[in-house]
Amino acid sequence: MFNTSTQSILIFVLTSTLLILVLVGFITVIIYRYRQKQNTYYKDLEELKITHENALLQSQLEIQEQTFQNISREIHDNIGQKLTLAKLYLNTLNFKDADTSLQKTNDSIELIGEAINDLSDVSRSMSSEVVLNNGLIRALEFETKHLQKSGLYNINLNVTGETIFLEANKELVLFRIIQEALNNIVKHASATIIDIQLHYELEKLTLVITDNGKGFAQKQTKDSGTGLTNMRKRANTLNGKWKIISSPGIGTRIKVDVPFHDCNATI
Amino acid sequence: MIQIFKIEIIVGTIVILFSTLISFSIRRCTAIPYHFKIFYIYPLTAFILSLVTITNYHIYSISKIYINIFENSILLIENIFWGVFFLSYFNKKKARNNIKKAFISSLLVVLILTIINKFDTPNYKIAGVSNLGFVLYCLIFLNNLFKNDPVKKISELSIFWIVIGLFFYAVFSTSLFPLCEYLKNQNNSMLLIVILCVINLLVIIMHLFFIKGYQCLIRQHKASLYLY
Repeated sequence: MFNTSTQSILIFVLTSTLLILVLVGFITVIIYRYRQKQNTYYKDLEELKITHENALLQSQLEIQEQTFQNISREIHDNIGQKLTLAKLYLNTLNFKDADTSLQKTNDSIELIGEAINDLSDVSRSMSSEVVLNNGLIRALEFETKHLQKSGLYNINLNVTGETIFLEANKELVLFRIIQEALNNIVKHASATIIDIQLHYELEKLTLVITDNGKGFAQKQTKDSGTGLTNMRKRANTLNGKWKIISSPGIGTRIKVDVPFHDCNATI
Repeated sequence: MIQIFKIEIIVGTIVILFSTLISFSIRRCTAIPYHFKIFYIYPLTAFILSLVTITNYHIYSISKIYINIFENSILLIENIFWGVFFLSYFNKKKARNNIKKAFISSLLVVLILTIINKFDTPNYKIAGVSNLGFVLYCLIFLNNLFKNDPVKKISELSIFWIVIGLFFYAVFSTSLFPLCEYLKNQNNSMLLIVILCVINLLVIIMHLFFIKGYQCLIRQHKASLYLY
């Protein structure tokens, strides 16, 4: 039989062993469950990343497709028509009738000249060199000056706050948003006054484009594959917020908020 | 059994001293969180308590007087320390509120018990109640650990090892200390010594976990220095 002292030692050893086993078991369970949670977390994060990248890629492809369609339409509607007409004039020249031939030749020259100008405009508007070489503000100044020359619009460009130069590709995306908005105003709004404001704040850039055109009922358009969709998608690539307010007879206001950090812009 | 108890006290004192010294050296590291900068307070009070226990043992064996005031005061300091430690660790409002509630309740009870306690004998109830507060803090931490995004490897988290050590000690000592009080009243000295040996072992294991926590902290600190 064990004496009291031996019994006590035995109790102590058994209790200690049990406690240590419980401790080891507890730590193992905690670490195991935490690692499981971590694996699930990283897996979800990866899936989210892939989904986001796919959505981004899809957006980029759609924007690209829309751009090609714009170029195609521009070439077909303006440039193609003018060159076709010039060709018609030249085909129907009657060298026996000098006056008519001269008139037709002059008209053809004028049409070809206009077509070259239009082609030059398309090329210039598609080119990213203006933004990449001069920055967003200078590029906007060129764009607004070009539009102002037509005499149809009174354009105000207002830049407030301390200018922060974003990465070139981000500024290019912003420039495209503004170009798209101006394009829409020229084609659909019948506006006379266009107001472009760039506010450089502490953590974000706010872009506001306002016109006094005829406006539209927002429910009708609802992002139906037009330039509005492109603008929204471009704003999304900058992790920005895009908002449009428009009513018939009142005009249109587009607002884009772009944070300076966490922009993942690709054209 | 008494020999084992004495050896444990000595080993425990050495381990606690080692833990105290490392916690002091960590204070010198720059850019470590505030709760680690003040961490030295706990091993230091544990070391003082250990010395007080040894001294009391010798005094009692000679004069049958047990000086309890230091032990109860140290328990109060430890209670305040862990409350402040966890409050400074947590950033989120909900967790901080839970810690505040646990801290205030635990501190009030310990304070009241400390004031009304007679100082002529050891009082294990106060230690048991105090450790219950620590259990609550640890549960709040573990709950938060699983709620938040698990971005870091758990074995490299210094706070994890410290909390595990504290939790393990607090969970078992919360029930063992009242048992000690009961055995003391029953005059069952042998079993009482066994329980006290087990508690001492828990303290030693706790401080070994603290040392593991310091190791992770130092490694992190060196890694961050290397990056810069």
